[in-house]
Amino acid sequence: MNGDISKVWLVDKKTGGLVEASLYDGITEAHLKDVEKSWMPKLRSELQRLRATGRPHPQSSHWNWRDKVEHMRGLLAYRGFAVVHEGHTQGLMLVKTTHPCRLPIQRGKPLVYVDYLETAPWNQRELVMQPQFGGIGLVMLAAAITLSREEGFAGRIGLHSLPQAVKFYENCGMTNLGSDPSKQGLPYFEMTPEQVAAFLEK
Amino acid sequence: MKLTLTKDWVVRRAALENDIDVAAGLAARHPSIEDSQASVPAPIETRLALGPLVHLTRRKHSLSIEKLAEEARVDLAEVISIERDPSFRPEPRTVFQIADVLKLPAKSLLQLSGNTAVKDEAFRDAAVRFAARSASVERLTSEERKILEEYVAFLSRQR
Amino acid sequence: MGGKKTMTLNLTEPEMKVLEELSLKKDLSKTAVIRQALRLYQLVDVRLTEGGKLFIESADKNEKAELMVL
Repeated sequence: MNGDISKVWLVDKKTGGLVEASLYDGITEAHLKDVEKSWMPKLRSELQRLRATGRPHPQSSHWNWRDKVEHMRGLLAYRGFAVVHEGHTQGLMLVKTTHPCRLPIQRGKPLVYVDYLETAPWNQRELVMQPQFGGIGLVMLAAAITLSREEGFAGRIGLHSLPQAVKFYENCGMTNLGSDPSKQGLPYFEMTPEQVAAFLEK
Repeated sequence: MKLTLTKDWVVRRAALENDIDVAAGLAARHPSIEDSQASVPAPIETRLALGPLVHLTRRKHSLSIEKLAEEARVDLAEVISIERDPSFRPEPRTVFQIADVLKLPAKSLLQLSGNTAVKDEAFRDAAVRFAARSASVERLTSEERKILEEYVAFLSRQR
Repeated sequence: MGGKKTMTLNLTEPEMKVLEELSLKKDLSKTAVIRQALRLYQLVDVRLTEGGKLFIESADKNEKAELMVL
């Protein structure tokens, strides 16, 4: 855990404009408490409501957040990130730095693997009529890439996308290596240094 | 690690995300049992059995509702609703955690709670009988213990 | 983790050779290779301490051998 805080920008969906937020390098007890206090009840009530209407409910669930974070404490291979706006945790990400690339042109080279990425329930279109903030995915992807560069991995990142997010990763220029049977069929994506450069260019 | 993002960059890239819910990682997903059973509510008979089952087993272990909620690391309100409200459908995780603490068969509990489909007539019948027999109990008598243990043994035999 | 400390590493010739080979293969600086090795060592150690075992499965999945480490 590093403790660095960086200034980032999120899209305020109400106004369409940008608002300032903070990216934390390291998930703290405060972030966990906030997730338990403000994400859980909202998520639970939304899921109950969706179940009652018989609508297929979303694929995201964070009921094992605390377990995951506690498990990785003190382990060099894991890094956590949180996006916070006005005291509320808007998104969380866990990455692992010991996975190798699978894409043939970079096979065997290390990448930053996004183990877990999720936004707060009030930001999810599948859970609420009017999601509050957007751009958290962008910030987190940029963070994973920046970490990758810092570690000497040239920006290479990898992740398993949830079905509803596939379009986003494709839009960012990542390569879709296809459905991974070892991950319940979730598609696996990777980014090459060239794709990273295109994504980050000013 | 310091991240440097310009407002400009965010403005230009915002469209990439637009109306998409961004998420990644297997753990961000519901377990597959949930996916397949999402919109099928459990018949009322099985949901009538879950409350007394949890209630009596909890008492058998001499646990208060608060202690059970604490040991299972679940919401107090959920435990209360499970025990008292047959129309309440708890989260799968809650059911797993409670099953673990109370040493009850999780698979059967998920069926009783309405999170997975109920298998057969016999299962449903046993649920109704248990619910009826266990109604209105105060202290766990040896009779109640026997009723509870018979039912739990039945559930444990379910494949 | 923010501030970095400097350490002098004393390696034998074969060790240095391996370090250079890995550095080339993984497209990493020698320092980055060492840091990656440290992460992996810690991960494996934690699991083994918990009582787990480390196995290597052959590519054709016909052989699985325990890696006796640490």
